[in-house]
Amino acid sequence: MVSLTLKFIFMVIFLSSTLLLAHTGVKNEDVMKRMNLMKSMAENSKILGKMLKKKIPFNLEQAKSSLIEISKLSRSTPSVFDKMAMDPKSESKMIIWEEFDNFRDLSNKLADDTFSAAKNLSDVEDLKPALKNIALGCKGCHSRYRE
Amino acid sequence: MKALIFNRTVLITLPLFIIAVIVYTLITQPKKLTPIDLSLLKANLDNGKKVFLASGCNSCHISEGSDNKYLLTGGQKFFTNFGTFVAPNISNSKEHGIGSWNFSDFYNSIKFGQSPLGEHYFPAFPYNSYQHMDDKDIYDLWTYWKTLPSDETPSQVHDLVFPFNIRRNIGIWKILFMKDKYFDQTIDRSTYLVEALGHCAECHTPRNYLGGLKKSVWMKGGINPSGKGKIPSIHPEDLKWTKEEIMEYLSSGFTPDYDMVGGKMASVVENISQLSDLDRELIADYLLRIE
Repeated sequence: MVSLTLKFIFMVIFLSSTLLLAHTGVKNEDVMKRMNLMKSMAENSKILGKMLKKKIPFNLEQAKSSLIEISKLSRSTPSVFDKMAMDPKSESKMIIWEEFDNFRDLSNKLADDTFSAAKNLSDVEDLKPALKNIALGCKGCHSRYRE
Repeated sequence: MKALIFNRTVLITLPLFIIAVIVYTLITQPKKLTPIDLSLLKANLDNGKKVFLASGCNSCHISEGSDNKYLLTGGQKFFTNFGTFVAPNISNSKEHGIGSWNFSDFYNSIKFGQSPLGEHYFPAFPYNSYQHMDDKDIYDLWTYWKTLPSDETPSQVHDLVFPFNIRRNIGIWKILFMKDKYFDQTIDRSTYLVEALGHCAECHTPRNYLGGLKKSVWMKGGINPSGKGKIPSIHPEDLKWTKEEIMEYLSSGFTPDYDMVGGKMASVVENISQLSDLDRELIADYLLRIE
């Protein structure tokens, strides 16, 4: 009976991890970490975008929390790219590691800008310049460092 | 007996060879071009800049990673089955760019894919799309072009495999794939923006083994010539974005999931974001109506 339960647990773990990998097809764990970080950034930006477009009601606390989260994720970006990991599914360009200082500066700038946007946010009107800054920050990196 | 057979073979094959050479020479002959009459054209610099942005010349012709979007130094590489194309310097340098050209040279390069020396350009330069560009727009673009800076970096040579490295053969390519189908942009500006200026199909439509666009799978995605991976399909069946989402992407770079545009497309979006809302709406209209 114990052996059957163990088998079932292993099967669940195996299937969940397979599903997780199958979700993106990424095999390299470091690349997966990078992708998850980017995904979290997108999810937080999406909340702000929805508020700006009035698809969800504006909530000052939630907006601030999303901006701070984006700031934290931006600050952590260089650390998840520290290792030069590659995967067939990765869209990162090798130039990231050739210009790592610039890559770090861009990430830190986005972190500073979003933190300051969170500090100054008082109403929905402030979201527009905040989101514009996020777009510029993301684009600055993506245009140079992403396939 | 052997000599008789040899003579007979020569007698038959030599005329055929000569005919083949004549036919090849005739069909691959670059067009005889006439100078363009400028007397009726009045330049509009603002429109010239808009045409420049919509045509995305800088997306391929700035040097790799350059922050100056108006310095058309060239040097970006495009890897294809035919070899590697290197975007040339098309800045206003008289020695290394196109600074010594006149308007007719510029017009003929865009309309016919032909150099001032009468050589065919390789179709990595998307003249198959630009040929539909309105004459007035080409003139405005040229006028704007003359305000752009020059750069003295020499152009690099393409690294192509035989027989695709022979420019003359492009004459055959043009017969097969370059259709002189002009249309008036005032009738359908959506199509004009996407097919002529934006030349979206050049990357987003798969190509056949000779590099011609497969029209049956229009905008269904292609191979990425600047790196790994694929250029995604923007056919509405696959894209499934609303008009508002397409317009948002072309304006801010955010996808509906708030992923951010990357790679070459980031430059395209940066250009298109400087066009009017109406133009972005027209581009979205076109993308939504592809069948």
